Amino acid sequence: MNYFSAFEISASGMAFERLRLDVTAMNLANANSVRDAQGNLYQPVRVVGKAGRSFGNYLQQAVVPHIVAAAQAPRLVHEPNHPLADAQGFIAMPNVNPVDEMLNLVTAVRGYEANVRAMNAARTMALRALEIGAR
Amino acid sequence: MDSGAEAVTSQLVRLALDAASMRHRLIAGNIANAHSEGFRPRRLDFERQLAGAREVLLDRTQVASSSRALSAVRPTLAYDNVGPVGERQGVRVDEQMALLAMNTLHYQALTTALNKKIAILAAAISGGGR
Repeated sequence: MNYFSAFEISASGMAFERLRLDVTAMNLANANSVRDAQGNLYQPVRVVGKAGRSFGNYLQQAVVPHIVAAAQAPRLVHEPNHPLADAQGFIAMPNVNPVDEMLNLVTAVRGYEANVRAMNAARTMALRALEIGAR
Repeated sequence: MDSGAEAVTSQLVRLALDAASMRHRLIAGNIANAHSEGFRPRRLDFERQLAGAREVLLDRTQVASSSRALSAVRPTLAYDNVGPVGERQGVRVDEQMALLAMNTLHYQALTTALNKKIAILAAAISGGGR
């Protein structure tokens, strides 16, 4: 029995949840950013996980993260005094939904915890297996 | 030593330990993919197959064939039932955590049983005394 694969599965889950947390933080940090000098507006991104048939074994499915940009129309904020406002007084900002981001944040933290528990359980089992036949 | 109930016990425990470690990997994969798109949680079908071999194991007249009955037991992969859309989609982490805790405990119980069996064997070798 190869215990390392159990650790790798949980590690892939932890990396995935951490990436989701990073991306959520990035979206929130850029929620109120405006167009840069080239006219590009920040696009909110999402992490989408897909089960990967990894380690050459059908039993073991690690998670493979994919980052996708959620193509959404920018949020128009009425701020006539802003230096970057257009003729109508509107300024374009990324369409970041704070509720979605907070939900992602919470589920990512909980998901991370669940993966840590699974990894600790694998460790406990491996240690017990090493004790077989010991005095 | 290699005959009868003696051999069957170690074979049974080894089989169950393998199944438990396999099940752990499945649960870990389910938890890792808890937020994956279109993922169906999977489980291991082992106990139901073992129940089929139980009749042969409990029949004292068939001790010779119990080893063969056990080697026919193969843990197989099964998908969790997925109901109508929206009802039972994806992984339920609480359920998986409960299964994980149960499986870890089960594994520890099995290693304890195996240790006891080895201890009995050691007592027999040393003639019961130390």
